[in-house]
Amino acid sequence: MASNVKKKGIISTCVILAVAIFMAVYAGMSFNKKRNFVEDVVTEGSAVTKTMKLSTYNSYLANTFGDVDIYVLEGEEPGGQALILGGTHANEPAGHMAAIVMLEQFKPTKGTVYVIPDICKSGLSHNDPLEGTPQYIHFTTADGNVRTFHFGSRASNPIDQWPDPDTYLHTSGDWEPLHLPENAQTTQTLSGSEVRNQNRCYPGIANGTLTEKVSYAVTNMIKTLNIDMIIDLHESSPEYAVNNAIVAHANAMEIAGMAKALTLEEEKGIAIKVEPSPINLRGLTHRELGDYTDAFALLCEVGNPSQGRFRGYTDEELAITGKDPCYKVASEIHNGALLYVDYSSGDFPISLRVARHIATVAALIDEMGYEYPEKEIIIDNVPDYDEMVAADDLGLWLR
Amino acid sequence: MSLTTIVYLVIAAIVFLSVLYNLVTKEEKVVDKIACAMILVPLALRLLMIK
Repeated sequence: MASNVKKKGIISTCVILAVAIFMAVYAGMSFNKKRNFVEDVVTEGSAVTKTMKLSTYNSYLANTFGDVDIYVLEGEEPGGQALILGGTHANEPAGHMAAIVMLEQFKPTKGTVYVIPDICKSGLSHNDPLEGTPQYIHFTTADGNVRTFHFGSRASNPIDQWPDPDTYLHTSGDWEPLHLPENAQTTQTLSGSEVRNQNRCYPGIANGTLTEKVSYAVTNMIKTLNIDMIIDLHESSPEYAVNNAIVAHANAMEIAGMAKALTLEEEKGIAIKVEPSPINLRGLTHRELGDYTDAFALLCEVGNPSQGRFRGYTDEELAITGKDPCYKVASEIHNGALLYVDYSSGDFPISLRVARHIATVAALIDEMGYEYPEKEIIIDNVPDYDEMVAADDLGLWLR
Repeated sequence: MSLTTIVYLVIAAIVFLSVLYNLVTKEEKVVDKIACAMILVPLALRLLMIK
């Protein structure tokens, strides 16, 4: 009798262990595949004149997961230079996809556009636990090809820097500020997990964490190449106040204001806000890259229901269509006062979100040229906002 | 890999082995064995640095 009980115990232990091993192997293979999945960015037929490695601007990045490609789109005529960052927060897919569409479609005839679509590649390589977000998003091109892109996490992968400290002390490393506002602090304490937030680690530390190394390389690249404008592309929860907005450093406030008033709102009918970069919110592109370099530092936000707290079932469809019944309900409470985007249509598709980013980038670059003719950049083949919104199919703008 | 990461991996390995030991030799109820096994899955992935 006793031996029977013991035998049953051994069998149940073996079965449970086998199931656990199967689950570990299955999950491990899925995570490992995502970690190593390489997106196919198509440069053939595009205006990309060369690619460089980000480690060119920080040798400590060489042979690490953060050593990403910089795509250079150089016009025939010299002019201004702009840097576009996508994928800072990998759970904000319109920022990542807008950068990819721009590098595949933009054709500068004057000046140079640098595009880094996956500035936080580490963040693209994993997902946030318990959020239920998809690992990938897919788009069908006009040729019928299905292209696959990462949907990632807000923060770098803990494989690349682990564990997080209890408190993250942001510092500016060895950089000397060029335009630090009066009464501004240069350090700040943040919650520990922010140590993996790419947009809290600027201006960066050469031999710091992976995230700090990447930030350092971007700052050094801007200073080395004398880049005139940097635009960081993001998305935000519809209930977050900084939404459908341009966040501008003081040095870029006039450019942002004029681009909003003259081009985006009056000419294209795109409602957009301009927000000043808070002087004591440290580590962000629009703050640090304006304080520590001579570039006009800007960040663009657009509403993304797939990252909001009100959202319901979360999958690839939500990331692409932005259709969510919970947000629809939220938009009807108190005449939509809970949200900072107009969600009356019941959706906020990625084609619209990417179109907003592209129109905003084009308007900001144009405005820089109007105000500073020596920094003019002329770009042909900018995808048309109205066409993108009407088609509601981002794949048509991918090669 | 930083020294802190190595220390954390050693801690994770000790917890992994302790839970595995309990699962194999101590736990008698099936639900407790399942609970042990569920603890082992993420620990194993972390030890292998898979995320």
